[in-house]
Amino acid sequence: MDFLQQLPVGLDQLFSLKPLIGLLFGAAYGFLFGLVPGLQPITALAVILPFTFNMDPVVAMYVFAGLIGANGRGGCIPAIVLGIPGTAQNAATVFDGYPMSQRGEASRALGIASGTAMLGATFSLVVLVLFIPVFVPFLLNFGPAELFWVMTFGLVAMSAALPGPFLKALFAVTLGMVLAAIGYGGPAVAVPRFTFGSSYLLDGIDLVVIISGLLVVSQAFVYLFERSGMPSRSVATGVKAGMQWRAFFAGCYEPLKYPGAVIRSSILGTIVGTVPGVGGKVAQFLSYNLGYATSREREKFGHGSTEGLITAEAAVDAKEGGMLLPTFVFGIPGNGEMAFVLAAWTIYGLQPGPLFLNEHADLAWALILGLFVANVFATILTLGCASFVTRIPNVRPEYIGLTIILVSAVATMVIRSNVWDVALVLITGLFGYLLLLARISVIGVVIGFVLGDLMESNFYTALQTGFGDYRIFVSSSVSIVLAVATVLVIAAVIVRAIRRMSKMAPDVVQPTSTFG
Amino acid sequence: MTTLQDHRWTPTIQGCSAALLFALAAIWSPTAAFAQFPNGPVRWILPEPTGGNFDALARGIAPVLAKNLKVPVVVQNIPGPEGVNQVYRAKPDGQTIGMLDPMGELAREIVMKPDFNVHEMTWLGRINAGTNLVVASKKSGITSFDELKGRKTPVRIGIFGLSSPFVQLIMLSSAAKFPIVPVNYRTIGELIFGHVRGDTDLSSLGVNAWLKHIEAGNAVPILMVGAERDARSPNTPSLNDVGLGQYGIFTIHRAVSAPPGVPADVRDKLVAAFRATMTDPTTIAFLERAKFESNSLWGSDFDPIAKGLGAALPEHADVLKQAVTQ
Repeated sequence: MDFLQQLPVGLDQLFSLKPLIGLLFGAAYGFLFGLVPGLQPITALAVILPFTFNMDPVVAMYVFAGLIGANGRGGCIPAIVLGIPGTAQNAATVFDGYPMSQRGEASRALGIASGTAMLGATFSLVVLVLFIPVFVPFLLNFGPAELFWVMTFGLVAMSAALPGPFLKALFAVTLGMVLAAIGYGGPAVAVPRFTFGSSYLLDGIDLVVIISGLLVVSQAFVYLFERSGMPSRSVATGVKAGMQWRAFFAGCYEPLKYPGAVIRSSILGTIVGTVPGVGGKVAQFLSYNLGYATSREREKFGHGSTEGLITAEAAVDAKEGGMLLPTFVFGIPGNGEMAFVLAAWTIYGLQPGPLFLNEHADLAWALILGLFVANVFATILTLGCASFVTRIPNVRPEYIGLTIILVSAVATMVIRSNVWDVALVLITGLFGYLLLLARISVIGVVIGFVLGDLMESNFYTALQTGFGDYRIFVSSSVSIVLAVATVLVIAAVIVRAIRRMSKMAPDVVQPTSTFG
Repeated sequence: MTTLQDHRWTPTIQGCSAALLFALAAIWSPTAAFAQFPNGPVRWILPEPTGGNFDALARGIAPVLAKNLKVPVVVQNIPGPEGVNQVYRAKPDGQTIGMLDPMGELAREIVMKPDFNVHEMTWLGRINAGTNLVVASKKSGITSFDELKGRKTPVRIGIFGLSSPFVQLIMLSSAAKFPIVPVNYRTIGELIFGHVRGDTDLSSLGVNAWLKHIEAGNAVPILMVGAERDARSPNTPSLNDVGLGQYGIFTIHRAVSAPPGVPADVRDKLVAAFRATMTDPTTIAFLERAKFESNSLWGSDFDPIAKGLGAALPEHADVLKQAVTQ
């Protein structure tokens, strides 16, 4: 039976008791995981997976949908209130969410994030359902050459968009790329790189260690060493820490005042979500970059801009619908979370593949409707815990810093049970703190780590598909467009840098003649 | 973004030291040298990407294994040599095991001499031996294995690192004399996507991974990499059918290993737990439902297989090195 014709079945499932309970449980569980910095959604999925084996597969899908849909929402709370992303996909939320919180607008920021998340998720799910036939040929246009240009464009554009001198931003991004190269890697057969004979470094540096160290623990050191920096004690507005309900609900509607930003970022997030192997970590940066480039108030980005927060959040939630597309249509996971869902299908005896949508429409609708409703639950959960979280600034900063360090240490141990990972998190945290002192962007290092790794792997894969011929990088119309866009951004950055340097050049002193 | 221009420098060294000590104490549990096995959760490392057959298999049987070991079994994906390295260097107390692809790791040893030595691992047995299916992409125009024999133009093969499918394709290319160009992907999902797009000409994965794509017309089955035909794709020729039956030894084994030096009594407990797991009705039902092969071998039953692979693969060392370093 046609997939769309099964919508009534899907709705009937949704309003049954067991799926609703599964959805609520999954949402609460995923939300809590997102709330704790360092705990990633894949870990949450890995823990819950065995418990779903004896469930009805439809109920299990609702549990997964709840977990995936609510996880990012939980992660945006510490990103906004403490400047610490709860998950890797909430890093860009810090750019503007945290400054808003620092001037006493944490509740408003949480409301904006909630409203944006609902809009972004709804957009992508509707697009997924209505435009599957159109999306498939579009998706097939994105191969490794095209992805290489997407990552390169993202790296250059983000370097330009990061605050501070461009050279410092470039240094940060480059540092991230070098860190990503540590461990096994290379074009075909992996070889050790930058390991200096260390068996620990052979394992490479896990992304969780980078996020936890550079973004979480470094900020904790700020609280610890500076005994300040806590948000929401705004002298200017006289606003006390704590939940302001009116501001929260007003914030929920604010994204409607920026329809262009919401739509652009949702489109980008949906598209990025459809490309296997890319995911939310990339979507947020590309979307933020797009928002910066198209905004009429770009000078406010990074300083508590509403539009900046919207562009970061919309893409993260829009990617959820996008990632379902390759999963349903090709049986190829759109990201790590979908890989778990596919593993679950296999365990249930279901074969993922191109015919899955029609053969198992009930499961597909469970995921789609579950993701949508999960965002509603996540908003309720945000309301429930935000009242507590926004009071955290009342606690002394050094206690906050200590708690964050301890939680990060424990969360890091959960990943690989390796005590050296914890040591590395503390060392990178200290290093990140030093970078902050030097006004070098730690976010830039994370961007370089994430995008640089993908850029390199897609570069090699593309070259291999082209038998080593570099013309593969301009062999399709999509890759040509992306290549031109990248070159233009590089040119714009160079021109801007030259203009800045010429403005700073000292006036030439004209020699005066002794003869007048 | 945090900047520090407005903050004064007031270090809290005592608090920081206390936090660090507390953090380390919270996570560093002293290990008893001769604790009874198992004395805590068993960590099962998969040096394979999430979402593949290794992953689904391990996660499917982990709950039953946990029941037989009477401790939780935590499955972790650490793809690539990093994962193998972690298994190799773990404490030989039975608390860490790995699910490895011995042919892939033996090939890695031949080609690049990694820091770990798979011959030293404690091999417990195999969960199953799978049959891989070589498929051609629709865009390649290849419709049979015979078309590849003696072909002059290179064939792009999709791989995800040095693994059994890669080794099998190298052997086949050497035997049938067609040149290959490896196209490396990070995950199985990306490999399949690349194949559907036509970025690769041939790829090899477990049969289950391709069935729906074959049905949808995105992949053309070329060869079953096993001595006999497989009921899941009965019209696809086997190695015997194309005169390459001697390569049947190079099948993919989903084997379980532990670090070198695991005491014999711990090894025996693990083997016993796995035997009980694979004969458990829950596991049998799961294997049937998920269409996995059911041919596990443990302990001394698996030793000849491991020895056979260890002896046969080095004979093709030159072919492996050439294919990898081109």
